[in-house]
Amino acid sequence: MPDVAIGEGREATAAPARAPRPGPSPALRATSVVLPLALLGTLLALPQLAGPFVLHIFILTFFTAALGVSYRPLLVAGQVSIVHGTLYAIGAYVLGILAVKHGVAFVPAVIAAGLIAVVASILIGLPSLRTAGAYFFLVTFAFSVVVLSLIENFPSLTGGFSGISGIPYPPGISNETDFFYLVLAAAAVVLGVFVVLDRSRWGLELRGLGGSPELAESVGVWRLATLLAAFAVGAFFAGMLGAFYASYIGFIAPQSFELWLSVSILTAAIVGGARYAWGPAVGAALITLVPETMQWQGAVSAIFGGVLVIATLMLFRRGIATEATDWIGARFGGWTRTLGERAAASRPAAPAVPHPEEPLDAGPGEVLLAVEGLDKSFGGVHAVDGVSFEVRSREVLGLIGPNGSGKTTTFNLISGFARADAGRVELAGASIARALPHRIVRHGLARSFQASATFEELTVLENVALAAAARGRNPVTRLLLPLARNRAALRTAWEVLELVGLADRADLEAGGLPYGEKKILGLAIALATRPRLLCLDEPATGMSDAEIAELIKVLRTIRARHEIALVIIEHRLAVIRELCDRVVALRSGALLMEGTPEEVLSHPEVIEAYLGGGDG
Amino acid sequence: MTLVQVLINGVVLGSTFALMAVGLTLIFGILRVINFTHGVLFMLGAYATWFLETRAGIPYLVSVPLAALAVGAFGVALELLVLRRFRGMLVEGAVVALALAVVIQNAAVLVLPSTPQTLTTPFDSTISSHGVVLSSQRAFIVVAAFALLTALALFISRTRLGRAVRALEQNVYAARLQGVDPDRVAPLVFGIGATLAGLAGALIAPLQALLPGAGDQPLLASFVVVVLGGMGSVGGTLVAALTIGIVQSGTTTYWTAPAAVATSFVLAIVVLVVRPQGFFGNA
Repeated sequence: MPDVAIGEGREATAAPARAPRPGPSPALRATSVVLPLALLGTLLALPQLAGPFVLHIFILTFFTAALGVSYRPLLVAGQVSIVHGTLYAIGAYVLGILAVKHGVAFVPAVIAAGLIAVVASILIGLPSLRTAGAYFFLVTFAFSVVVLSLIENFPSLTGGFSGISGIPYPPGISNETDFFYLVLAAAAVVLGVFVVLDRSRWGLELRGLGGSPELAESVGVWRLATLLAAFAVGAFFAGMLGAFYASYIGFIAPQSFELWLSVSILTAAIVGGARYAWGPAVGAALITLVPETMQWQGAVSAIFGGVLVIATLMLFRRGIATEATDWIGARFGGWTRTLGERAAASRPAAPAVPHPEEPLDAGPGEVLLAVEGLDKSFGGVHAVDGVSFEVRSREVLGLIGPNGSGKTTTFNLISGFARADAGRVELAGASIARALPHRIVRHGLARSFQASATFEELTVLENVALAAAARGRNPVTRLLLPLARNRAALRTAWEVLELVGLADRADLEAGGLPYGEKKILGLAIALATRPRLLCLDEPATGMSDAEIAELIKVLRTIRARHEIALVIIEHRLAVIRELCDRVVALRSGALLMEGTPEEVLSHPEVIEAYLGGGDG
Repeated sequence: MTLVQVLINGVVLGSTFALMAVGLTLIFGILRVINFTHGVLFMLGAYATWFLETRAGIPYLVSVPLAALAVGAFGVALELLVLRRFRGMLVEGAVVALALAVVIQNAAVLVLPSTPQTLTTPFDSTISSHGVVLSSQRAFIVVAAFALLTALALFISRTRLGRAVRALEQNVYAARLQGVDPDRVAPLVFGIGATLAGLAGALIAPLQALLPGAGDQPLLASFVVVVLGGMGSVGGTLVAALTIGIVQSGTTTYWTAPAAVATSFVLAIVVLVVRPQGFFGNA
């Protein structure tokens, strides 16, 4: 698979910019509370109103809905698996085998079902989630087929095609109505858990990974662990739900768990949409209730589900529930309070006014970043060829050179997005040459990107709060704390937004910002990680002169007030001349020269490299 | 059974995997879509041959290329009508392809006979020597697969269009600047992949009883091949296809048939742990 160079023009997949959300609407807010309660009330009354067949259909719908809701976090992070139904099958068989063959009590057997599904998810997730791209999808699909074939072919354990029968009801449950309430409660608990998780830092990190994996890693999100956690948490619920299902049906056999089950869970999540935790439940209701009501045979309901997925993705890419909710929200006002409103208390009372010309009281200090003999080849291209330089604290270093001279590759090497073939990188004395991006940012090195500068689908405040929270050395409790209550992260986020002048945009979606503000937001995201060294990749490219003047003001303030050293890649030489203490020029991957801006920019070889170089 | 027999069976199996997996990897290389419809294309190739032979009375050897081309045309239509919109979108593209596969396969369940179907081939003799047996249909499969894959390799390495395919695979943007139009190359590549999948189905059809689920196992096997060989690498795919063919043939002979797919899956996982880019991938 050809490597996509990080930071160098990814293929554009961004959704078209949406209109900014209007202010909150009291009517919609009331609706968002009343509607779920009314639905819950109706469902609670259903056993009094309907017969056993209807209850049965609704129980199946609750199972699919809970499966869809627990499957969704991976989808939010941009990963698709076709294994959730298989994990559910594993849970069902664990309960069947433990309860029927070994006489294990119901509750421990259900927990075992969840835990064994978790083990399975980690076994397949650990190798395949490490890779970017399609392998996870393929591996989960293959795993599903293999497990389903093992279930058929190991009759000593699974009963083969004759299955396992006589699976008991849970203790205290004696009829279909009891089971209806039990599964309704289970589905409600699953939904509640994921609604809460969604508002936590972990939920935001998943959305960040779905929007822009590199940017998320650069602010401190540990990609593998975050994805694996989403997979494993989902697997835990899938396994337990499978155990409940086995108990409900009383008899399990291979034909209860065909591959179609995993596909239908995916269908529910896609059709409903992954943006909101309850979206997959809407999708599940649609794909379960319609075929059951119409009493379609299996093949026809499968075609219905498939056509629904294709139509949804062609017409409402983000899912029916997502598009409808956002459409109404855009028209009539916000459904729920935004992060900006919930976090208003954390906003500093007196906004700090940037001091553009605040003098620097101290010159460059001790060595902060030491790069020595950095070397990287891609195939036959020697992209970075023995580059060495140093950055001192409070210093601003410019990195210039024609296109293809190795500037961005150098950034990728020191920020952990590519691994050097040889060379040493030390940040404040600690070697970071082999560390992953999310570790390096904890050492205090942040970077921005040329492209993929922001999380387009998050609001401005969420963009910055994600960075501030991810970088924080928070224990696991803080990972699950609702973001609106993470005061430390929010305070940092507000400060950074005030500093760059975006605080009034806090609740707008980043994707809707004009270009210059997006670039500034990219800078704010990097700043929110509270770096000691900030590497900016072409921060001024594409900006108007007025925007550049504003950018220079902000960068000066950052250096003066926060004692952050900067390394700037920039083709706008005016920016380099205005800001930099020192400039390093690269040509064809190698160091051409180093000196003050005047020395370097007037040097004949630099001028030649820029104007006469064949590789520009 | 002798080791030679196991190897020969493995090569036969591997040739069909190669026909499937090369298309899968080419399509991924150009469209960035994991083509879940590859299994149903295989199934359609098998049933189209069956239809032409048993219902229209066309001889097997004529039915095979006709069926393959019909599946190829169907593939082009899928690209033009649906998959084109999801080019470059990994998640959405794979999901749409999967949904298409579900729709096509279940439509086949509704339309096609529910009992297993058979068809005949002129290659009904067997070649045997020194205790090694090879049916002439299997020999035909290997020869046909080898010929077509060689032709494909020549097409990709020697022709102008082949160069455009390779250019798109490396960098869509740069290829566009050189005048390569992805809108024209993508359906072509999808058509080639679909033709090869349909051909694989047409070739295997006389050896098995046909059911609408006929494409499931070949799809799974070619996914494993692609993981092993490295997504987007044609050479790696061929070597991996033969490897998986031989591993499955060995597992079936020395252990048990149901374990064959599981074994090759475990092999692919191990490779993924050791070399995430696939065994032969160079990315």
